Amino acid sequence: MTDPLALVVEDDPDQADIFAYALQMARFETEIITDGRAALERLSQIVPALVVLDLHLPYVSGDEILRFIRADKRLTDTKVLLATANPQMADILQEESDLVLLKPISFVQLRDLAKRLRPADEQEVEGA
Amino acid sequence: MQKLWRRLIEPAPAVRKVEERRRARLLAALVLVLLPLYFISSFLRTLLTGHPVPFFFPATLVLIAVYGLSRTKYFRLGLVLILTVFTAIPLVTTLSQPIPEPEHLIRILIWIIPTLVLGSLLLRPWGLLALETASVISLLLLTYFVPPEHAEHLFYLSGFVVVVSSALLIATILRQRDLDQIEAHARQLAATAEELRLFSRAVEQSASTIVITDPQGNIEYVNPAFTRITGYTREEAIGQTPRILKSGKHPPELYEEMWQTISSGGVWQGELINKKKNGDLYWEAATISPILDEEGRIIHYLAVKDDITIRKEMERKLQQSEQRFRYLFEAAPDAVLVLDRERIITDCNSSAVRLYGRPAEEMIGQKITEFMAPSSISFSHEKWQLVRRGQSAEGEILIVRGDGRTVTVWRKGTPLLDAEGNVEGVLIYDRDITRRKEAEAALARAHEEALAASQLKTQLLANVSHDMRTPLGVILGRVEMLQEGVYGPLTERQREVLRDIINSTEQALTFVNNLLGQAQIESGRITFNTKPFSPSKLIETALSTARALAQAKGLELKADVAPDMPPKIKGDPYWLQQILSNLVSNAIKFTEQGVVSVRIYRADADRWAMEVADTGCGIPPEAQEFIFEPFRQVDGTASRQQHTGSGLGLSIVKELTTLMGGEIRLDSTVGQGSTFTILLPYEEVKEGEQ
Repeated sequence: MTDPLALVVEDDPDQADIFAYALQMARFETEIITDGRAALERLSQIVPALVVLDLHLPYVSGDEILRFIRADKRLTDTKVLLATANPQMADILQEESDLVLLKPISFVQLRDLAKRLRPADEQEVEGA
Repeated sequence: MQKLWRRLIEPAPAVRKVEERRRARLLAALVLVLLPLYFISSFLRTLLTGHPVPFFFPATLVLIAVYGLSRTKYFRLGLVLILTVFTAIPLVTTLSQPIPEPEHLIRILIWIIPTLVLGSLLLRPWGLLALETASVISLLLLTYFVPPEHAEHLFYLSGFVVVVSSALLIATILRQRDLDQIEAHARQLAATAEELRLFSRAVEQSASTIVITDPQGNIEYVNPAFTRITGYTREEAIGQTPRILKSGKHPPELYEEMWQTISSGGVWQGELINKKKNGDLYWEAATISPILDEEGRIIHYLAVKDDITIRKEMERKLQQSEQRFRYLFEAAPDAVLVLDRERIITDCNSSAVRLYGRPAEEMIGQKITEFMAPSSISFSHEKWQLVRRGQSAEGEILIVRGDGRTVTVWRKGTPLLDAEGNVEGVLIYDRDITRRKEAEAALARAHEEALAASQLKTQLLANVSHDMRTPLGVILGRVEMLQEGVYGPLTERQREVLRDIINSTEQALTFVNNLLGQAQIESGRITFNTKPFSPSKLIETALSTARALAQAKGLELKADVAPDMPPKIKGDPYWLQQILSNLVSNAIKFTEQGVVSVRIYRADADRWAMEVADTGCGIPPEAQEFIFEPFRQVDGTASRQQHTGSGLGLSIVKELTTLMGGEIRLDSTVGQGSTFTILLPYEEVKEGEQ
């Protein structure tokens, strides 16, 4: 059985690498995208189980991507985890996202949260 | 005796005329004299002849009746009665004789002459003439009833009576003329006396001082008003000259001129300041005139004077007040203009001349609107409607100066009322506010700039905060990965180095956390945006950063939302999260090993709580009081090295909690740990609010 897909949308490559590693430790397939436009393009093609979304992105901002995901019926089951360095934005987007994390984000916390956000059947398999 | 006599003959009060009263009085007196004489003669005659006097009782009755009538207003009836009876008696007695004898005829004469004399005393000339004619006619008629030889005697008798009558008539006419004259004089005299009495009373009661002097100026008369005003009694004044009142305040020329005027027959009028007996000065308006005799010689001087001290005092006060008003008017820094009902300028002060840049003569007589910018005229007209109804009005208008420049003034208009309360004009104050306007504009500009600068600062801080969080995230993430053994196992030495890195990162992070919050609090621009939020999401977001730190330090970070908390409550999640992350990073900072636990629960019916407990070094009681003050930490240098930071965290927490209407509690034991509890008002989320 293949691991569920997690999309890391983050323009800082180091941060993206850390996020991706944490998600891999939670047994997600990961894919890193570093700008907003590319993220929108990719999201229209795939259905990830989880998106770790930075708000501050080139070309298209994170909240626009969030709204795109929420408007797309295909992506109903996709969990969105917002990662932002702006506390005010964290507050504003609290409702629309599944969880907002304020940067700097703990590697361990992300790993543990991601484990919890894995689709149910997978968790069962893992539990078994 | 004399009084009794007067009372006995006093005529009735209804008889008014002096002459008639005299006649009535004479009649009464005559009857009173005649009555006893008649009684005595009748008594003697009865005694001598042995016969009673004929007609004694009727005669007595007639006399008494005449007396009675003489005391009433019908005294003339008494007069007619007595004269008729006296005239008739001799004729009747003569005719009653069978054959009249000559001695009877003589007796007629004895009666007729006294009766005529009586008539001349009691009657006016016409009445007397009637009586005389009646007497003569009755004598002539008698000739028919007597024998012819006696008739001749009667003719003689008649002739004699006519002669006597004529003489009596002439005498009566002459006497009547005298009486008339006396009567007229008496009337004149009475009228004069009455007039004099009136005048004298008027003079006595006059409020004006009246002084009469002789030609030399010696006082002959003063009225009571003189005494009242000057203090000199009549006795003290009479014989003195009016110089006793001299105050010495007037030049001698004034008195010379006065004497010259009155001594040459003229009337002098003027106002004098005089001195009372007690030394007080008073003002009087005097009219002094000479009184001349028939030949035109001065026999008296008459001075009529009115005390005008009060009027003078009022005049002086008025003048003083007028002067003061002038002074205020002229010294006023504002331009002051007086307008009439038509808004025509009637007066203006020197400030107005300066402000308007026009001479007073150019403005006075012109309508105020002539000197206003056209844009201000309709506004001014609106205000004028208010002022015309008796209200004050003010506002900003533009005036046009003499040099063509417009100036912004603050104008205040106050209605001027007459004695009846009608608006008769308006008082205008104009204050040049050009400078104030400039200052206001400068202030507004400065304010805008400061606001922009403040916004810029907040924006800058937000950017700094944002830009620091990303690299800090990488540092912490990599450290954690190292600790988790992602890059292979670590030596003890390497772990120690990592802890150093974590400590420094922690400081940087605290700084970043506080930066924005503190700036916002300081600028006073915190606004709370209360809305429903999820307590568990709040914990997760607030702890996201702290977890990295706790993980790095090897601390356990527990988070728990009590089951009695509803899924959503109301509050401002942004600031609540600030409070919570501050408290948690503080707890991690001061805890070397053990647990940091965060709990959200219902404290009571009205409040909910956020509790952050640690197993750190604890806070000594003496420090618990000031740790919420900015830039204070528990102690000095030693711990500073260990736990560096700006020290702003707890003061921000306290400030925010207070602003939210909450309360902060601290429970701490040194060596065992601290528990911070934030109690906040509980607000339930109503249906449909989510």
